[in-house]
Amino acid sequence: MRLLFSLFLFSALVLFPAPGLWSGNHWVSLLPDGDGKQETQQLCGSCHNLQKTVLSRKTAQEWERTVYDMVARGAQIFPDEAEKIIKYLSQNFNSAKPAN
Amino acid sequence: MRELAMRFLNGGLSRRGFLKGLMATGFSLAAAQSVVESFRSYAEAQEIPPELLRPFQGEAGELIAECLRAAQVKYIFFCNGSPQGPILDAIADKPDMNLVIATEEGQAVSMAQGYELASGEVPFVVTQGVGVPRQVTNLLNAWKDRSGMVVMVPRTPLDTHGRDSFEDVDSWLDFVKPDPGQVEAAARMIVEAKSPVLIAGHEITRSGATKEMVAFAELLGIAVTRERGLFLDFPSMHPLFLGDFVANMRYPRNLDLIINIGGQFPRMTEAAEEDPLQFLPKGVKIIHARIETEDLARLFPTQFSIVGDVKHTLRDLTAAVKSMLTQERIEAIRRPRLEAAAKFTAMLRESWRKAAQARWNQSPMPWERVVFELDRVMDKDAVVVQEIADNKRTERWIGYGEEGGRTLIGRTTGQCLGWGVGAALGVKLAWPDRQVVSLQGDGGILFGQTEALWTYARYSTPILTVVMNNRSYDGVRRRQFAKQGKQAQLNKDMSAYLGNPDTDFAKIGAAYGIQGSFARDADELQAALKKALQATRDGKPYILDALIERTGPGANLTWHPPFTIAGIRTRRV
Repeated sequence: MRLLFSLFLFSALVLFPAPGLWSGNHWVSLLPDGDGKQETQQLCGSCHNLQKTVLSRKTAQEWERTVYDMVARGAQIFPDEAEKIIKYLSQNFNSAKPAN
Repeated sequence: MRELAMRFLNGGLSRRGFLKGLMATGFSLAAAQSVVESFRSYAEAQEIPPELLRPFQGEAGELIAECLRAAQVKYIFFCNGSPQGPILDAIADKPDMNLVIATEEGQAVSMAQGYELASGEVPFVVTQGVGVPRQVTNLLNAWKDRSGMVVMVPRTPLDTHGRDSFEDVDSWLDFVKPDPGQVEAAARMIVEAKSPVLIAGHEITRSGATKEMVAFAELLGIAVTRERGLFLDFPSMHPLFLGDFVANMRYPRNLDLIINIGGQFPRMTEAAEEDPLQFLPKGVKIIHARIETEDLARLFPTQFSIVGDVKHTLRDLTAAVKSMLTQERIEAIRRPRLEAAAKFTAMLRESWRKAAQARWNQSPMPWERVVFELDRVMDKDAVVVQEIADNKRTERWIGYGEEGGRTLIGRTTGQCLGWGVGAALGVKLAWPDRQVVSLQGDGGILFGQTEALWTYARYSTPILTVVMNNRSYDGVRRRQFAKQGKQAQLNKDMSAYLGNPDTDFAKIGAAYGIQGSFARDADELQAALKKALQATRDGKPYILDALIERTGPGANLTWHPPFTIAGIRTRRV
């Protein structure tokens, strides 16, 4: 019985891991291709994993606020890069796009 | 007897063995039997009857909440801290337990004790690890009064070990000169490095070595980062100053040498915690020079650990480098690095300016605007004593660290809130002829510090206290919400919102006879600053309550648990 339960638990964890168990690479793989993807991956992902990024749905104004908030907190993102990232996130992670 | 009892309770000694052991220590048979009998129930309690057990599946916070429910706990006496998020998440959608929030750990304990004295029930207290020293005084009261209580504090994370966390022990050595052989070898490594960076630590200020640090950095054009320390140990507006050390440094690229002078190694970022190798580039070499030896070579493979007073070390390193290179060679190394660093730091400053631009004129104000306005009116040699959230880097807007210029002190590396108001008074006492500005958060000043204003008033202490008031433990909420737990999903700010009651800090000052005002935008701020500076010139303290914005996830939330004590009454008494 215990063995069966262990096998079930193992299968469940492998097949349906909770979001918190995904590795950082998993969230990167959910970034769609496009202008600004590289900057998002490199500059945002060097400080935190991209889970909250790919799960969020925000307006352009909200993404602008988020990105500049990160800069204010110490992210080394230059103005032209910040604009690229804001545009990329606004296009790909807005309320019209369903969360994965 | 204690040892025998422990062995008995741990199952390492039979009842008979316990009895024999007690008699061997001089107990009579009757007395020993009585003792064994009294311990029996404890020993039996370790075997929990199966009918009291039930399976539970969930995360740690949910498990704690479930245990509290099983113990019929109704109230959690609570003091805020980021690691408590899982417990709050566990009760966010269940109304059967209420938080009783104190603004400071010691108060949480005294409230809990009052509850115990009246109800006879064992109260449950949740506070923050770094706050334990603050609550010790009221724990002593509870102990003396024989009030039992359960106090839970999250343990210190493993990644703080070796970074002077609470458990580490300091051992200072006075005026130790560094070993010349090590200095020589380290200097050789520095000369040969293609892409080095410096970390400036607090021992530089402690040993009065800022001038030596600047000279050393400028010698080969080596860019300077900082540990998150007590001081600003390198001039913040210097073109070589990069600010905080971060994982994956953008400049200098391809880092091959880190020279840490007098500091600890900074905490890792979230990404680096997942993969510690990200924190340092592969193959990077490390030189660590300190007088405090506890964390030398403890966290990362370190090529040279130089023990000594950093003023001596910097002088000796500078001399050694100069002896190895011609002036032409020094210039050839320094010039391109200085140019590249100056370009990079100028771009960083532009990005900070741009980030604040869109919010510049809004109300509530961005924190940057408040600091900018202060910078315009402060004396050239003013001292800023700060106890505000770590993300508010005032050194980006205020030039600190020049000789004869402004000085930054704080935030305390102990991180135990409730420090800045008193610390600012001590600074003013030591430097009465320098302007002292105390920067406080609203959460920080509510950490049992308002009483210190009595001392300000009694001794006519001309300090300008600026309360950066965002009506929130902003950093705590953003870190808790970043985990995307139930608080974030349900838009429920369980503990961080401070706007109800909306504390009027100028009025708190008025209760002590201290002048003050409230500023909700830049115009009001500028007017208030004029009054404040006049007051301090006249030898009086002043409190400026500046309304600043909340930032990050959940910033717009004002929801907080609606529980009231009046609401649980059955009689109007």
